[in-house]
Amino acid sequence: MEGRPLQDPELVELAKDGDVQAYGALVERYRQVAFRTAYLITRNAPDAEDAAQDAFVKAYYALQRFRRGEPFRPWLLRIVSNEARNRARSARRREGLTLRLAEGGAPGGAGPSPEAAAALRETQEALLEALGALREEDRLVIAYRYLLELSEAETARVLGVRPGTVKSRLSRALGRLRGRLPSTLSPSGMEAADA
Amino acid sequence: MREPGMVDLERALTEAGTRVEYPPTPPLTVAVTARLSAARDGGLRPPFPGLALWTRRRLIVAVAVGVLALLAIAAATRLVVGALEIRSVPTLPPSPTTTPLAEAIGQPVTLEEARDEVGFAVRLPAGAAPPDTVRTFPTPFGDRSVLLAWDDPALPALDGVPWTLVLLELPGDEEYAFKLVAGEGPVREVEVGGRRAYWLDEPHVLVLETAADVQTYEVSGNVLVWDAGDGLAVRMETALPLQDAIALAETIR
Repeated sequence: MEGRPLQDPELVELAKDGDVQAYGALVERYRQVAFRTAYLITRNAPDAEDAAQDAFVKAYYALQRFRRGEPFRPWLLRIVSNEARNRARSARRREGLTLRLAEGGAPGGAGPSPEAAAALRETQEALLEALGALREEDRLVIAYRYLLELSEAETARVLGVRPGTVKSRLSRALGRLRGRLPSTLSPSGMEAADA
Repeated sequence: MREPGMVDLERALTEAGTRVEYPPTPPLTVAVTARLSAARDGGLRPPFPGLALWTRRRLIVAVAVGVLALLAIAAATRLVVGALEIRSVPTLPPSPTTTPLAEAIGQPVTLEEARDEVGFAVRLPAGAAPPDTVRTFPTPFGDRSVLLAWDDPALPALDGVPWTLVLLELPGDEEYAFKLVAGEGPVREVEVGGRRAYWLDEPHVLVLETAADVQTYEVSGNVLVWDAGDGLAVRMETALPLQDAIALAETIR
């Protein structure tokens, strides 16, 4: 009979004792968010994969420094973020971040009319384009909060700043993002959210 | 039309976030645990910290039982001839080494020294003069491979290198030589002496792992690779067309 899945702190303690399989369970649990975090920084998949993989290995060897009771995910993502930054710096890439929307309608519920769906898609594409063009500091605080849906506390931990700093940084970044949106942007995508 | 409010913007970002099409998440778990297990078992901590991790991962997964499936990621097709693998990838890696393979890989030796070193019968084209360049290099798995190059005016010149024929003889059945081709079109299955062979006549990338480092080369010549028997894969780079290349390959014993 299978027991309940082990929680992060239990897996961390096992991994600290050298249980690679336990650590593998943590990797499996967080590989997607780790890869996506790295991708938002490196802006290409191979570098993101390498950065995420390296970060997981480094995190394993750093587990003895991981404080009991601390959440594992933001601690890990901080390491991923550092690794991805180092990789991006050495690659000296200049291209911006290009994020695309998946094909198909918005998830959940009855779909909007074709016109509304098209307007929504146009809005979201414009948002992602504007986001990709922001400087890294702005881009990451927005991406961590809204695309990866990290909490403010997690975002602070990953960025290595205080939660209050996340609030102020986020506010400035959103202002700059808004300033980059085309003035002709269809309001339907955003006004719907206001209704 | 109006400028969106901050709440609109935050909500729109969250909604957009659920629809972002990220690249597929790679199977990191296998790769990470393989690296950690290899390190724990002693002796396979990442041996070349300065190298691209792609390579380190390859090196380790190649010796980790059960994780070779990892190699399937990002490759539409994998064709394996002994130690050489042809991978069809969406895009070729940037910035390969510009130094020609025959001037960069391993150490120059005489043909006799190569024969002593490699531990297998070095194959040569029948009737050909001795090679102008012979180099050997250690594989990640303890074997030694040999490169032979000719500047034979009877053969058409290869672009960008001073050679007309380059042979790589690769012992072993663990892959450490990779040909990366863009898309699936350029690879053609043929036969050399009744044995399985592949022909590539479009530019591609050759990645060679040695025991000391990893080198990546841009290849513009035609390449024929085949299973030469006795656990040896042979790669021939030539400017000859396919049928002539096969005819030449069939003399190599």
